[in-house]
Amino acid sequence: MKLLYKLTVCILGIAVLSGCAATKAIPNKFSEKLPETITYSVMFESLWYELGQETAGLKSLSRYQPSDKIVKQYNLQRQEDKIVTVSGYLRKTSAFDATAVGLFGCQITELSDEIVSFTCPVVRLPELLKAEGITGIELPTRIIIRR
Amino acid sequence: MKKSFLCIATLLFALTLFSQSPKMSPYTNNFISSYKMQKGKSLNKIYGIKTINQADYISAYIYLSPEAIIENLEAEGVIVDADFGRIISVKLPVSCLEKVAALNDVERIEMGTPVYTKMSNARLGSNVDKVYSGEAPLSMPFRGKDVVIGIIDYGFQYDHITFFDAETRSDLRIKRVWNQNATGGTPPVGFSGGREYKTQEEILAAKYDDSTDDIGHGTHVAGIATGAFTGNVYRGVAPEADVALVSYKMDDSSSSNVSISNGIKYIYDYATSVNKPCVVNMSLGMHLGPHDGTSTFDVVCDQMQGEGKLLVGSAGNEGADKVHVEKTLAEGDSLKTFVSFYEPSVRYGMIDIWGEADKTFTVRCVVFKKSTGEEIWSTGDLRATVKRTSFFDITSGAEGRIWVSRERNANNRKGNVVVTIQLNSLTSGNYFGIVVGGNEGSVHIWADDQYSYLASNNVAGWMAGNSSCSVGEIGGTGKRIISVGAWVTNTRYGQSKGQLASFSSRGPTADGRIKPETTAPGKVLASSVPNLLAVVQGMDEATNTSINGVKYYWAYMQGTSMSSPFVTGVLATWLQADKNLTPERVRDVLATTSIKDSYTGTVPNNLWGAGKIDAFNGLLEVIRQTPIEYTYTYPEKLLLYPTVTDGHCEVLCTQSDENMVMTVYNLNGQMVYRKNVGKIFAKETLTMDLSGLAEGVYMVKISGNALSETKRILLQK
Repeated sequence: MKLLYKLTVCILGIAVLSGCAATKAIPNKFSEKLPETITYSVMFESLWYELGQETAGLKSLSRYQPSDKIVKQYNLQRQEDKIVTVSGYLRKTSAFDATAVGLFGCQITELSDEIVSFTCPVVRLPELLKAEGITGIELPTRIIIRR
Repeated sequence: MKKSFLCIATLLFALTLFSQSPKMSPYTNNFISSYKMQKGKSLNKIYGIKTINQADYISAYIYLSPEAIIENLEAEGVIVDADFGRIISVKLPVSCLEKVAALNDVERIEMGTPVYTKMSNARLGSNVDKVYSGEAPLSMPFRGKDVVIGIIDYGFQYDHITFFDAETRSDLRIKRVWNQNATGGTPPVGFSGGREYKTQEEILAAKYDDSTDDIGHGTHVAGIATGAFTGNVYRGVAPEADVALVSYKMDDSSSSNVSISNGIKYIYDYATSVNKPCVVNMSLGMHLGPHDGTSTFDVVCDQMQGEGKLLVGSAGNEGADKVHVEKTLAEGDSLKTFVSFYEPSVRYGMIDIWGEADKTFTVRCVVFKKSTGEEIWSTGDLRATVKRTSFFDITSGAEGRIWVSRERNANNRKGNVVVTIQLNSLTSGNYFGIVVGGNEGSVHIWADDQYSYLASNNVAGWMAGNSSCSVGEIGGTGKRIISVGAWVTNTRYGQSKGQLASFSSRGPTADGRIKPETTAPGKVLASSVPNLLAVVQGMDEATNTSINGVKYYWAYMQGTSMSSPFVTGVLATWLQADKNLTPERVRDVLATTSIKDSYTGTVPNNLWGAGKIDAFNGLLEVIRQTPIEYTYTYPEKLLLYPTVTDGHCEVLCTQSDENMVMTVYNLNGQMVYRKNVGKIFAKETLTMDLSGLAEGVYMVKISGNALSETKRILLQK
């Protein structure tokens, strides 16, 4: 009886821990090759490369914060809750579903039939690139304010 | 005895000299006294006297008595300019002023007063005041009512007195604010970041977008477009418009094109939600991009504009800067230029290089030693169309890092290379250079012009930068945006009135389009600024005023940042006349009505565009182009029908009135028909016979003691 009790607790514990790990961990995909169905601006490719360099060896991106150098160089934004986001333009087809990408924290603003702007947590970029209907992605350009 | 006689004579003489007609305003009386004592050029200038057929005329308002007969005034040489019912604006001979005042038809004469101030010069030079006052043949003033003006900028004081309704001073005309930098709030629905303010209470409570700002650029820009305060002469162009403000996201003194295009979308969406036409102003720019309208920013902006959705941008302030070079390459050819830095201690710069579609070129970054003519350090030749970002640490002749990003741009198939330079040191006598090589096609290079520019340093074979193609991205290069250059209306900061401002950027675009579209006053304009200490300490103050214990300021600034909102305000008045106005029609109107003078030369050209914007004649052209429909809507007060007529019209009045007058103006401002009707009864029908007039568009004004309506008709035979 005691053995059965211990076994049950162990199994339940493993199940709970596995569940937690599954919901909290964000797998590191920055080392993977970019999908070939999408056209990337050179700055985006550069960002992807540098994120791959910075996250090399990390299995999960859950606690990853891009360095100040990357934040500044690629116009990323540090939000209040410490999440670092990236904005840009997406070229898309009618198959693109803004609501679906919203489920993992990506905000989409429709600017025209073919182009939307996006703001997305940096660590969710790999998921964004898997969304259907994206044909191009471009990072923003800095505007030096004319005074 | 002799003394007494002298005194009495002097007194009588003085009384004669200074006798005042009770029917003339004090200013008019002072004028007539001065005129009798001293005629001449100085008096002409002070009182605005005009010479017509060798006689002196003044402008004035005349208040008519109830039974006035206009012909009696005209018999004395009075020329009626506009009829507002009981008040008419006229030109009248100075020699007949007192005689006219004595007529039973006249209750009062108020002479016009010339105005000599800065923003007023700008308004006068572009005929904005005629639009504001509704000068004939306009039927009413056009001040941007029922139009939304959007301003994307930074440095706003939301509760500046000039953003309130001019009459009430308690109704805020700013209806929406999105501060993309604010934290702790809710962004607009469908957008990310920052905070939206939707009610007057929220907006006033916020007060500023950034209380640490030290320039107040956004407040100045908004004030030019739509300032309403009438306590001084720095009123804006469209003071009755509703206002929506977006403070762009600021990181390290820069924003991004994405946050700007989001801001435009936000404002257009708001205008659509309230069913009003909209014009958005961007006094912003940069020189990263192809300068040919194919950047993603330009493409989305072109797609967002349309009927009742206009976009206006500043052309740029690089008209005198060495910001650009261009060359068409031949076999084995090269384009060489040095990158110089405005601040020797801050050797940072961004250089943007663009080739021709489907052609390629190479880029080599070098450290050049002038004394020997050698490249003592080099990246080697980098092919433009190979997509790559490379980092280089400079190891000779200088110390620092550069990174070079290359690709064939997906939007336009042009090779593009962006070189970012950060030098910690540069040995004296050495220069940082860019060498572009190729066999064919043209290549353009732009420096950021904020930190760096292009120079030859007097080395043979190396090109100095120029200001050709200096109209910038964001505000200047799109295919539908109205880009605005600047001209001089105030010599406070140099140059002569009427000249193109030396800083006004020039076209063409890289694809050969003439830019800017137009020019407007931009050197120097006075407008509202925030009352933040840092702003007040650094500003060039024009004036200030205290209301209810709060001080408000106006200051001078110059730039195409100022000329752009001037045009934005003008377009708001045009949208008031036609809410479906498109960017293409605006271009047509500019081409037809812009002011051409000895400064503009033959237009269109890449300095002036179509010329100097003419708010008044442009508005008339917009009205002329707007189709007149056959409509028979039951009126509240009166109905004029038909609006497309062979000359016979009827007017149905739904209420009684007295002193009814029907007046018709042509579109040149001339009164062509007038009928004094006098008393009318409810449901009475009046008739007009205009069959003697030529075909065309006319404005019909019907007014009495209570009624005042203006209708537009088309006369077709």
